[in-house]
Amino acid sequence: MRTFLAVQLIAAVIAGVTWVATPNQAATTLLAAVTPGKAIASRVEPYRVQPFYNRPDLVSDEDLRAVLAKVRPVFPRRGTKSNYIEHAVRVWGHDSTFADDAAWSGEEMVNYLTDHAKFASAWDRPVSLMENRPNGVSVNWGSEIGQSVHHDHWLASLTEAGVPLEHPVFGPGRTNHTLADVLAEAVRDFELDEREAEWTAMAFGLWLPPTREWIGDRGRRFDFDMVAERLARGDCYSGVCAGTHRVYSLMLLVRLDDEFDILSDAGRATAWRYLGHTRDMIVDAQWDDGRWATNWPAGADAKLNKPDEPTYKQVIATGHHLEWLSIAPVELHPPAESIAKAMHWIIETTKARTDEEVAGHYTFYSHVGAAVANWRSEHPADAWRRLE
Amino acid sequence: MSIVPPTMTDDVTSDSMRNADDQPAAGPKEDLSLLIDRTPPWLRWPPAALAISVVIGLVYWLYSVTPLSETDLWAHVAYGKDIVANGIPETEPLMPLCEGMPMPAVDWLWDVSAYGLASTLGPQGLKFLVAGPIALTLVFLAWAAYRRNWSGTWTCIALVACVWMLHKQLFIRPQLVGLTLFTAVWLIAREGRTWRALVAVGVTFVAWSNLHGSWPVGVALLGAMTIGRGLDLLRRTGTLRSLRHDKAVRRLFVMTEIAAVAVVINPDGWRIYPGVWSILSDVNVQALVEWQPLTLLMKQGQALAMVTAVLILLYRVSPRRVSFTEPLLLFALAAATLHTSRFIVWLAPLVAYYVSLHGAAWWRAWRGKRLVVAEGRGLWAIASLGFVWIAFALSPQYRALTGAERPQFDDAEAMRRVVSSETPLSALAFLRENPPNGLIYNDLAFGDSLLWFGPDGVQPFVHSHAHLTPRTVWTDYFNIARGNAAETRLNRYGAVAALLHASRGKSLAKALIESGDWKAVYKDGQAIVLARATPIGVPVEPQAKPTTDNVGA
Repeated sequence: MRTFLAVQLIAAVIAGVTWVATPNQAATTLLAAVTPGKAIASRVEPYRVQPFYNRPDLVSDEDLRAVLAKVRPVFPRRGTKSNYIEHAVRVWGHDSTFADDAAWSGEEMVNYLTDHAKFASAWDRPVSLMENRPNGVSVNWGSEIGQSVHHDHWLASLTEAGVPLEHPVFGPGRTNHTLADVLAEAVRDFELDEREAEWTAMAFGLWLPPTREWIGDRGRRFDFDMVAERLARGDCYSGVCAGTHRVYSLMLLVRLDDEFDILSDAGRATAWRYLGHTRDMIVDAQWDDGRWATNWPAGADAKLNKPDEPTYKQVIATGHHLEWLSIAPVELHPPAESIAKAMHWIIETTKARTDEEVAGHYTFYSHVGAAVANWRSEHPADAWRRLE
Repeated sequence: MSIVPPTMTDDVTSDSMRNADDQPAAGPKEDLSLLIDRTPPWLRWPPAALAISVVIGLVYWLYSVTPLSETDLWAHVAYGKDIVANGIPETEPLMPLCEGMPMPAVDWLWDVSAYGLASTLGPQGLKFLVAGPIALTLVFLAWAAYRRNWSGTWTCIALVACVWMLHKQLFIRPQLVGLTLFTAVWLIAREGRTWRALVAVGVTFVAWSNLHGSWPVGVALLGAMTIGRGLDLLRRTGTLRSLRHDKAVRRLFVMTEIAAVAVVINPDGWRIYPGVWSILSDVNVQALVEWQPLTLLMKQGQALAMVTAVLILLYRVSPRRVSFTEPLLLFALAAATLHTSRFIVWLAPLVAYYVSLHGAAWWRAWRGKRLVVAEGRGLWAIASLGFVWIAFALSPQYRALTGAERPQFDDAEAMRRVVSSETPLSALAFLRENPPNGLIYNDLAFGDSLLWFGPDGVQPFVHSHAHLTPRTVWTDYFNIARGNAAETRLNRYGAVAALLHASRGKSLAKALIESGDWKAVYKDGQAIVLARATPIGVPVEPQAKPTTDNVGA
């Protein structure tokens, strides 16, 4: 009995000492395994990266109004893909309003995306944009009707639209969720090496800083250096929209680093090197009329071997490049003339399109709208109110 | 604990599970013509000890001359080197695509030991970590078996059966230590009666939790033995009160407690529990062959089936009583083995032990003979130890220890004699001379040797530690290997080179070369090395070429 009691005492001492010796990490790791991402956002309103430039010489009021008119959110009230609404709300913001009743207001767009019942009732077939998960709400993504096309594009779009974290999100179960729960699920299911990490990078970048590190599924530790390296890794062609979304996300991370110091020196250097390389490539790849094609990563070869592709693909490349350049410092710009030519081409091309043509490729032209407004340092909703 | 026959000790009646037929008969009459044996009692061994030593010695020698297999060994040695330089990591430190993945400290001590042996004695020194644990396991098994069956023949049968059932698992890896310590714990639990046994259990589990993550099997073993003993008591006495008063139940219960607490003396502390669980439940790990159910298509499955069939027959004819512990252990481990073939490591020694126990009892009963235990003599101890010494002295480890023959890792010709023919030494030498400036897509089997033999700062795609690999990377590896959008995936990862198996990777190599973006830069009978025909992505600074001194150092 004495031995028995002595063993109990020794075991209790060892157990207590070891528990005290590693309490925080034990608790953190265990907690992270259960509820990764919960309440890790550092703000209730998303951060907004402001464009640097106001260039009426590049984008006149008349051109600004003409382009914004093309990309107003005029969609059917039934059967509109979430991808279109996501792009629209990203450009116009959650509190935009229009005199034209045919245009969706910011509130309508946000509700359409965050209320499963509203979304589902707008379709003649069963659709499921969202589903409840044990620790949050997940947004379904993929190529099926009723899904968001890209992983975390829904979250990134609402984030850029300025939707606050406490905005209610009604999944199929109508439970008491908010945008915070979607963010929590995004943190949980984030895979660094998945095919598309561009929008996850944007969403995390606009919610988490000054937090630099977080723990995801399986206890994996992430930081923004890893995200930057992932975006800068591999073939420049890889990635959605001719690899241009990666560039925008990297530029966003650099701007966030300016504000919150979320990257190490090495991480920032990785991002900067990629952005500088992109600048060098687009200098050589630009066509004489100012456009960039989807083979822009080929540099000078891109001009020599112009791809036979529809114009909207060049709208994608040109619009996206102008968008990231609007939030980039001058050191990362191609020559001013290059930007001017590109802007001229994109504006004239957009103005020349019919409303139907723009509607058929709305997601691509929406980036043009965002780009031209950025180059006037004005939010599209504010510009429209001023110019309407 | 001693292997001296019971006539020489006072411990004859302490084992309540022995049959009356096992009582030893009187020894031979004193022969005054013999020399007087002045060896101490603990060094007077029976003649069976020589036969047992021959088996163990031969097994030791056999595994000491077997080439080092192409398994996860080299990753462990590389981790050991990193631990010595940088301390025990909390996240994976060597693989670029595994950054941030939590790394439970379940085998850090084995890694450091392996690196220590490799760096001081060269590759032959590593074989201490395979031949040694196997031999020690057989020593424990022989000790446990002979103390019960007093039969050298049946003890040797147990040893041979155990090696046969485990032959597919007996290669260099931390799990071997788990096997040895499992057998040690089982022996201590069966034979230990004093406080020293409790200390021994504590020390064993402290070591186990830092050497390999299989310690839960040991804790479960002690728990099962406690339950088995308790059930036996209940069956005999019919009262629960008897459990409280039984010394054996208390002892086993305390041992189980000690084991459960001792394992937290580990860099991870209490996190070692969820850490081990995270490995066991990892989806990537479940896909590995050794985590699949055991089947009769596997050679080890066939061996286990045959030995089990013999055991079943012996249970039918054995005159020995069968305690609850026996079927409890056997069924639990058998169920685990059928679910996950890797558990054969812990099932096989118990099956072999019970075969020898019941086999000896049956044989004796069938022959109509009473147990006669030969007198222990120093002569047999010296002969046994002598044979073991000879086996050791003839092993490459002895030559490495004395410095007579100590090949180095950068000696390609010598390494070919030491490592498995599966290790692509020449291709790895080529990569050291021509280090790729980025990620290398590698055959899974080559990932670990890339970490050790590859150029400084090598960036392999995957290695054998599946639980440390992100899910996406793991599935992308197999998709690329199958040629499923291989180019697109390789472009996305930015792989600049590929180290493929000469036969398994042939079709992938062909497809990549035909795409025009890749070219073959090296080829031999084991491996193919591909490089990008044109660079991709953003140019980075080229890696400096290493000197040959760096290899594995």
